[in-house]
Amino acid sequence: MAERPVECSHCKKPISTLYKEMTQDSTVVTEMCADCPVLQRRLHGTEGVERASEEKEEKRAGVYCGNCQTNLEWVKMGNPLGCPECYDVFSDVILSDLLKTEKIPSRLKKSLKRTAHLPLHAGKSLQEILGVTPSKQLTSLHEALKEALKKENYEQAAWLRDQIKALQEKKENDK
Amino acid sequence: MTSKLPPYLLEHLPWEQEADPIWPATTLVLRRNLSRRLFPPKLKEREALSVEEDLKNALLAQADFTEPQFFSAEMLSATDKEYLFEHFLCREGFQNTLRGQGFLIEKSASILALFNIEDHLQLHLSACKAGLEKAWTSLSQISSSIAKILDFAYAPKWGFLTSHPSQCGTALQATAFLHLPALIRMERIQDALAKQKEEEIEVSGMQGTPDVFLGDLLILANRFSLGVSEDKIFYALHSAATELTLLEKKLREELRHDSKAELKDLVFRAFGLLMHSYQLQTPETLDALSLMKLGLDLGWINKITDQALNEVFFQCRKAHLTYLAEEKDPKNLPHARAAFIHKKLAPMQLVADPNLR
Repeated sequence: MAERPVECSHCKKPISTLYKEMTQDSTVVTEMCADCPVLQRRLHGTEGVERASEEKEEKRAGVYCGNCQTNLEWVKMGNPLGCPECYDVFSDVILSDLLKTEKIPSRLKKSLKRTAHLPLHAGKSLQEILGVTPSKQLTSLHEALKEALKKENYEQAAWLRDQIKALQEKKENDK
Repeated sequence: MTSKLPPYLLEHLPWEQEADPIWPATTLVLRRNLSRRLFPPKLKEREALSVEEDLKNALLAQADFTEPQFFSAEMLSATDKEYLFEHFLCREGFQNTLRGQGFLIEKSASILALFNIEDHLQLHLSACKAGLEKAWTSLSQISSSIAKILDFAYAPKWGFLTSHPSQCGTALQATAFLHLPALIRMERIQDALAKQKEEEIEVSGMQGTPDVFLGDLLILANRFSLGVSEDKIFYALHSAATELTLLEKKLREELRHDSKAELKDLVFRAFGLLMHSYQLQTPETLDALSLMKLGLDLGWINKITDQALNEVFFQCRKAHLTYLAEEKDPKNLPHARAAFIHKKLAPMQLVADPNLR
């Protein structure tokens, strides 16, 4: 059974380095992971700057999410992603991070070494959870609308009407 | 001190009906995000309010919910938020929540929906050991019926998408709370944990640390959300929790026949601390109450029930006590806690030891 790892002060990865900075007045102790860009900058000042400029270059080259503007450095530091599209943009980084932080079962890890493009998700799919087609979804919404009107809940009914409209538009666009 | 939370939440405690002294509680957390929307850390206030509105309406339309009530984060006081954190046995606090973030509670007082806190929707459900399967069925039914109205962010490769990639996949966290005072106080816990073969399970104490177990409570949770099925998560949690429960029971049985003087002394001293202190801090209270629960099971304490001790275990925490003792000044809480404990545990007695007479 694994122990919950102690986390880096800057991201959620397990700590590997205890960084102590002593000045005349105070001592600051920070716990960091091995990949922490903050640690790199503090340990190898110029290298850190070079790394930062490299990353700026990467950003210029397009390594950021076009939908939410989340960039690679942000993701590498273990910060939250900005939107569903980030999963496509940072796919490799996310996977290598999950492997490094041991957030993937070891049997899947072994299989990934043999075949890189294995599906990672082993739980219920959206379809299984839904168990309905878009037309069934529309039927459910219409039933909920009828119920809301019966209870004279007009605010709820207006919102359900909007959802029906949005779903109908989506169906039209998908055709 | 008045609360904006509904009375049923203040009157009922998650453990009040629980009979299992070793595995008193289980919690499930299911995370979901809406597709075509930015995740909460990137949402501007107006967008956050719109997401909140959509989810609120979808949840208010749930047939399974009895009298659901929505509370915007800005409506609730810091103590109310702390109360929710304590009541639903959450792992992270809500103190920094703002406008655009909110909470939905319903009358059973066992479901809490969080809006725009890390993910668009987090459904928290607290249940007892016996209700794990039922709790999961109920949670997945709620999730399915919301999915019929709103589109969830999902990708076949990653499963349900969450703002933290380590929580994607099933986006489910199942947690078992185990009360293991015998294993912990007799220093057998590390050996017991080392023997556990479930790599899927990680262990921590109530404060998130891996080796400090406040109130002798051990928290087991699934380590992986991606690459495992929901059934596997429940199986791993159940088998790890059952194994530790059996070890604790076995050790208690040994102690019943051959009581250790050091342990008995700890229980007797904890009794003195609870019954005769002028001020009590939360950690020392939880540790002492834990020893009372053990003492009761081993026959060293009587005139009190395990349910009554469980009740006090919950009520002595900061926010619960603030409302129960109607104490406005946090500086007076340690004294209010001691007075509350004296009153609640007044009938409790040590079983007389003939050698001490």
